[in-house]
This record gives sequence, structure tokens and C-alpha cells, in this order.
Amino acid sequence: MEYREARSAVEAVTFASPRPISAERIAEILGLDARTVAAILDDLRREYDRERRGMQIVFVAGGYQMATRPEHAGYVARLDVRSRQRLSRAALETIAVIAYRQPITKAEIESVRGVRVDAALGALLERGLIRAVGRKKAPGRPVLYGTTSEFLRWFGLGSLDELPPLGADDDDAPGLGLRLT
Amino acid sequence: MEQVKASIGRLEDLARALDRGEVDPSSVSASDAIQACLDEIRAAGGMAALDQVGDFLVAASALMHAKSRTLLPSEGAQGEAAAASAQASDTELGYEEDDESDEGEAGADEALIARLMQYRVFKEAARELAMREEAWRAVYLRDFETPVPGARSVPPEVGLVDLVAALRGVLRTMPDEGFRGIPADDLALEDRMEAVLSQLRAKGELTFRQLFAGQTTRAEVIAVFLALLELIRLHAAVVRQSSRFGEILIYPAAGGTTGGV
Repeated sequence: MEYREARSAVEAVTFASPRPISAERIAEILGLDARTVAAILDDLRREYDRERRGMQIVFVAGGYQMATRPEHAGYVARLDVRSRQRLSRAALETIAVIAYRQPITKAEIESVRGVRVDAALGALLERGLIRAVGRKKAPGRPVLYGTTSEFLRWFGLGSLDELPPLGADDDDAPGLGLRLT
Repeated sequence: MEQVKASIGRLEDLARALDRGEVDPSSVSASDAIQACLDEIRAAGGMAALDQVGDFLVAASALMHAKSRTLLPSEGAQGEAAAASAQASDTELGYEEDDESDEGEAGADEALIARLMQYRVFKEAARELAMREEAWRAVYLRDFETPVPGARSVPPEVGLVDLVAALRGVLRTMPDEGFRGIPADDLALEDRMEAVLSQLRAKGELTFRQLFAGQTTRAEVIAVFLALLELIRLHAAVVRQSSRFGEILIYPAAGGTTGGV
């Protein structure tokens, strides 16, 4: 397949994908190698930026996806599209704890936040940002929660590695036992 | 009247003394002082003027504020405790406290400081996530979940009553086993949940009847049904109907796991 055709096909597949699609998956579909596809995607992303197109290709939740440019948000919002409601402060704090400490039980989250988190957990589950990922081998077999790919999409993260470093300006905080799974 | 005034004055003095660090916060009972003042006001009956009650509220809140602030570890204390704890972990030596109760108190203080610091770290993380969320809200992802013209509308949700009715339908097709005593408990709910979930993930969607394919006994059917209810409760599965009176369909909940178990 010549480059021009491959480039066009990569663009079509990325556009049509119902969810973020990896370079490997596009390569598999088009019969190309993943490195070529990644190079084409970079090329397309640069072109979209250079020409200030209304669309951009973003890397989110482990794959590439077409998205609108933020400067057009005001116009796009006038369309009858579902716009995301902001999460409450309680939900944000709860999901921050889950994101950095997953898999984690409700009781463990409550011990960090110092308050009950039932409502916040319910809201996060409802939006598909977290899910039950198993049960802890402890008395009562409490449910363990983890984040979903929807969480990455919600915050525009390519992967959990892109989470801001925890307590970046607090490196000397001793023995907090914080870990990023 | 005068007694009420004096009582309010005592609350104000106490709040000021706490603020200046002139008294040990642990030796002051804010609730006793406030209660004594309230008793004075009650004793004065309707005699206590409205402005005195107002003064009482201001003095009582000032006292509560001063007391709560002195009980929380200060920035300086946090640093000291952090240094002490770092030193302790470096040398693997505990504190050499003179008094056992002091040691316990120091431990409790340290635990509180550690908890507050941990919370502060996550609060900061939440603030950063909020900023990302705000920036990202301006970006609309190409999303097939957004209704597009001609797309199939979201099927109606199914209630417990519909599910139980469907279960009855499945059970009717099962052979009657008669009573054979109480069987051993070999139907772990967790295993069934895992099996249902992996089936859902593999196929994307299942009809209610497909869910029970391969189950040969009524007990097995009921175990799978209970597993389904548990998955719905945990928001791991979603049940919808293809149309009104249509086939019941089961889907895995939106979003795959990004964190390992």
C-alpha cells in the first residue's frame, strides 16, 4: 500500500472506531506494521495542528481517538450532544484515592478521606469511572475498586502512568505508603 | 444579667488565652465553659437581652475555633514529627520517652499528622484532576455513544420483577428433580460471577436465555441468576430489553478495568 493510501486509511479507521484504537490494532486491520501506523498518526496529528483543523487526534485511554479542538467547545456545546457534568469535590477526592491506590476497598478510601464515601462511590460507579475489580482476601471479603478506561477518557489520560505524580512538591513526606499501581 | 455578662466574658478570655498559647488546650474543656454560660442564660430566663445572646454565640464560636485550632498539629509540629519519624525509621529505633502515656500521645499525634498529610496529598491530587477535567470538558471525543440520527435508541432498562419473571420462564424448561435432600454447597457465587463476567466480556452481550445455556440443574440456574443480580448490584453488568416486551439483554458495564487486581 502506498503511503498516501495508507495515511488515508489510517485516518478513516481512526475516525470510525467507536473507542480509542491502538496503533497495533490499526496496523492489524490494514496489514501494516505498527511503527508505520504510529508514524502516520504522528504525521496526521501534526497536519491537523498545522492547518488548525476543527478536529484533532488525541491519545487517550491507551489509543487514538478523533476529538474536537477545545477552542470550538462553545459552538459544539450548542449541539444536542451530551456534555459531561463536573464531578463533585467529594467524588474527585474519592476517585483520586482510587486512582493512585487501586485496587482499594471502601473502608480504605474512608480511612484516607475520614468520611463515608457511599454517595461518591455510587456516583462514580454510575458514570462508569470506577468498577468492582475483585474482592480483598480479608474478613468480609470487601469489594475492591479500580478505575476504568472511561476514567482515562474523562480526564484525557493516555494511561494511568500519565496521572500527575502524587505529592510532587511533598517528596519528603515520610512513610505515607503511597503507591501507583 | 450581670452574671450572664461575666460568664460570656470568661468564654472570651478563654478563647484569647488559647489563641496566645497561654493555657494548655488539653486542660480546657470548651464544652464545660459553654455549658456553664448556657446555664447562666437559662437561669436569667427572659432577662437575657438579645445582644447578650448574640455575644454568647460569638464568644462560644471563638472559643470552639481557638480550641479546634490548637488541637490540630501545627505546620511546625508536622515538620518536627516528620523529621522524628524519618530519624526513627533510619535508625530503626523507637522514641525513648520518659513516660508511657507521653509515648502513646506522641504516637496518636503522629498518626493524626500522617493521616492529615496523606489526605492533603490526595486533596492536591483531586485539585489537579479537577483542573484536567475542566480542560478536557472543552474537548468532545468522537463518541458513538452520543445519539446520532438513525442510530438505535437506548433500550429500556429492566427491573427485578422482569428478571424474576424471565427466571421463572427458564426454570419451567428445567426437569423437575424432586426433593433429594440438602445438597453440599459447591456453588460459589464468586465463581459464578467470574464465569458470567468473562462470558459477557468475550461476547459483548448475552440474551437472558444464553446466560443459562449449559446449566443442567435448577440449583445451578439459581446460582447463575444470583451471580447476575450481584453483578448488577456492583455495576459490573447492565441489563436492558431490546424493545418493550423484547428479549432481555445483558451487557458488561461501560469501561474496562485499567487497574489490575
